[in-house]
Amino acid sequence: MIECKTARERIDDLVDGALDVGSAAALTAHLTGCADCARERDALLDLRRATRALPRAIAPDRDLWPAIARRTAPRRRIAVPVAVAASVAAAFIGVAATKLTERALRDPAPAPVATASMSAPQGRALFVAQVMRPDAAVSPQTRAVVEHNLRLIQQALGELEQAVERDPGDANLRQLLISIHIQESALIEKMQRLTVDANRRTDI
Amino acid sequence: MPQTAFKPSRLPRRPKHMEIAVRRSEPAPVPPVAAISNEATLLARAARGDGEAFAQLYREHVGRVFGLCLRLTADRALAEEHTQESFVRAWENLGKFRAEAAFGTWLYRIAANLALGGLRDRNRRGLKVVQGMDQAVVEAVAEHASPVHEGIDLERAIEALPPGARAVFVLHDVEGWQHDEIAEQLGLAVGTSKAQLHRARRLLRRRLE
Repeated sequence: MIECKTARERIDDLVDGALDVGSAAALTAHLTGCADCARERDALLDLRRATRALPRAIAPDRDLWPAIARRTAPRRRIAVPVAVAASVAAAFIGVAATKLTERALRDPAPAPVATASMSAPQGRALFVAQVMRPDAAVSPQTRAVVEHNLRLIQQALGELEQAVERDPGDANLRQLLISIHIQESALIEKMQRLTVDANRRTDI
Repeated sequence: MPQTAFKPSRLPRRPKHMEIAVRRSEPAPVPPVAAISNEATLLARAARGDGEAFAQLYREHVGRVFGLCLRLTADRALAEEHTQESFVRAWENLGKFRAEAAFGTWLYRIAANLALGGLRDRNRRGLKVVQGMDQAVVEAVAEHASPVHEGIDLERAIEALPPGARAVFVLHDVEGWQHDEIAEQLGLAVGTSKAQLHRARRLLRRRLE
C-alpha cells in the first residue's frame, strides 16, 4: 500500500504518463481512497490544462525580418546534403546529364531557365517541357533515361505522400518525404544548368 | 476591468482518470502533406540562397521562436535579439539541416540554446534576470489567452519562477520537450530536470491558489 508521501512524489509522473503500468495502478488505487492526494492530482491536471491553453506563438511588436535580411545578404549558395535519394541522384545526373552534355542540344532557340525561386513542381514542369518536348534534339537513349528517372522520382513521391496520408503520425515518413522533395529540387536545378551549358556550347 | 485570480475550479471538468487516459492517447499535431511539401520546397529554395523562400519560413515560424525566447528570458528586447540571431544561425546552417527532425523543431532548438545561453551569461555577470519582470509576456498573451485573466495570471506566475525551474517548466510543459532532452540542453541530470519541474509546478499552484 502506498503512503501519502510516496504518492505525492509520484503524482507528477502519473500525470505525465511516465509511470509503468503497475506503479500507475497502485497510485491510482491510493488516489481512489485518499481525498487529499486526489486533490493534488486534480490541481496538477488543472494547471496542465491551463498551461496547454496558453498560445505557443507570440508575435513580436515589430517586424524583425529587415534586420535578419540585412545579416543574411549577400545570399550565399549553400550545398544541399545528398541523403535519401542519393542513388536516384547518381543515376539521374550520371547518365542523363552526361549524355545530354556529350550530344549537346542542337536547337539554337534559347530555352527558358528554371530559377531558384521556382517551386519544385514548377521547375519540374519547365524542365520536362524544354528537354522532353518532341522536337528537342535529345537522343532517344537520353530521353528514355531521363523519362525513366523522372518516373522513379514521381513514383517515390506519390507513394510517400500516400503513406504519409495513411499514417500521418509517422515522423520518419514525413521526413523522408521532405528529403525526397529537397533532392528532387536539387536534381532539377542541376539538370537545368547542364542543359543550358549544352545549349551555350552549341551556340559557340 | 479588474483582474481576477486564476481559479482552477472555473475550468470545465471531466473525470480525472479519463483525462490522464486521453492525454496518453493524444497524437502529436501533424501538418498535412501539402504543408510538408510546401515547407520542403521552401527549404530547398532557401538552401540555394533564395532569400524570399527563407522570408516565408521566417513568417511561418517567427511567432513560435519569439514566444519561446520571450518566456525563457522574460525580456522583450532580449527575446527579439535571440529571435533574430536564431534565424541568422538557421540560415547559415541550412546546409547542415538533414531533415531528421522537422525544420521547426531544429529552429526552436537553436532559439532555446541561444536564449538559455544568454541567461547563463547574464547570471554570470550578476544581472537581474527574473525579478522585476517587465510586462512583455503579460501584454503579449493578453490578446490571445482565453479566458484572458487565467492566461495572464499563469504567465505572471511563470515569469516569477526561479530561472532554472522556469526553463524546465517552459521547455517541458509549454514546449513539450522530454526530460532527457531538457537535461542535455541544460547540462543537468534527468532527475534534476524532474525535480525542477516538480518544484515549478508546486510554486505555480501555490501562486495561483
